[in-house]
Amino acid sequence: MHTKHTQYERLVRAFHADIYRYAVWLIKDPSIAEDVVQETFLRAWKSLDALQDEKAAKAWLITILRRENARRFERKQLEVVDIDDVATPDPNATSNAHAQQRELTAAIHQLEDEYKEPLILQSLFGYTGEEISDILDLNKNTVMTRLFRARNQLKNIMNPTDLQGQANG
Amino acid sequence: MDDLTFRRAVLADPTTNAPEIVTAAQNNPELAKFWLTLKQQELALKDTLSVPVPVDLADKLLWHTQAQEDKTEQSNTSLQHTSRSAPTIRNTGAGVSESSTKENIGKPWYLAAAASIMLAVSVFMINTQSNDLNLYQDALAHIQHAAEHELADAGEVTLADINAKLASLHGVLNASVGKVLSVNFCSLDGVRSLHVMVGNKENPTSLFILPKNTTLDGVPTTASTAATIDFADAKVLVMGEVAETVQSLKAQVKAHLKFTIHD
Repeated sequence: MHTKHTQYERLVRAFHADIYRYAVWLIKDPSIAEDVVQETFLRAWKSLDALQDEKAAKAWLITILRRENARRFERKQLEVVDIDDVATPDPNATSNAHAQQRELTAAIHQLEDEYKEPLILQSLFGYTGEEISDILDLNKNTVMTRLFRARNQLKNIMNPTDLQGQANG
Repeated sequence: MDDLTFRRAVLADPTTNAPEIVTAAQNNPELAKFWLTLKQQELALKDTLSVPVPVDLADKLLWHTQAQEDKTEQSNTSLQHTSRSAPTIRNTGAGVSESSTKENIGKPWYLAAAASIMLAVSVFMINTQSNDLNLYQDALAHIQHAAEHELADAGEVTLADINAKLASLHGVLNASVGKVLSVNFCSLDGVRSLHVMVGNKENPTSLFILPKNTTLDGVPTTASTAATIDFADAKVLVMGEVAETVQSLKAQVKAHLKFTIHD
């Protein structure tokens, strides 16, 4: 039991930040995201014996988080928050750089989940196309196409005159 | 490599080092410029995606899991443990592991309250399982956690902050009920609740705003340090150390907390 506690605490301390960030981008409302992260780690605790390879722990937690989020929708007990109400950007944002960050935040939220998720996995966590295809249960070509479309959409939203017609797909 | 293939490749992975991509960029300044712009966007993207994480989140997660585990253990063994003293309320950070009368001297009120009600709880549980008592224990544990981990760094909480979170419960607070120290969603025995702490950091009073179908019959309100309010669309649990403060807050909440449909 002591070993299980130690392993679990290590897991929480190592991955809570990344799992929280993923949840915030997926769910949009930080309060609800925190609730879902709590449920994710609780489920991870209950299923810790199923984690055979600690190197795969983060991907395992992401899978649990995505399932918990899907359950949330099934229960339909929690409301969907409007993009304008989301408090994900830095609250101290005042400079131009922060203004740009706010624009980018809004642009990311405009992406559909099927584009947003591989983008987060690649840009934030550094996963390869192959690893993303394992986590999202998609084939690699689909992942690469979605990554291409996600960035193309972001670029078009941020700079509507730059890229139109340059990289369709 | 044609332009379209190049653009698709770098849009799919701006950090690629594939030799054919590098060569194509070296031979075409337009493509090189396109790639550079994408690399810059990628840095901004990574920065934006790295949203701030609550400083105490890891402790909160560990505490939540421990609380759930304790509850499961307690539920499994309650009939066999009626002669045992207070169940454990643990906090991995502060190392609070056992409550006893002796240890409670000089400890915060919520620990003393935990110890005294747990004795009543264990007697009560000889004959019944009570979800609302579990909920009350969870509320005490949340107060303890917040007092030890959240209030020290708590900033100013405005009425607008509270109402932003109350909105998801269809509630609105139309006037101040005192200095608000924190407002957070939490889970009490699996029930989603909005926990508002009011007063001063040394001696806060707590409000838990709960769904209307929550049962609070088992909450020991006779001690005057806990009170409940029944709204048509919600239940509210008020908990604190000083009976007068609890009753005063109860009156203010009753007067100023409104729900969109009935109250």
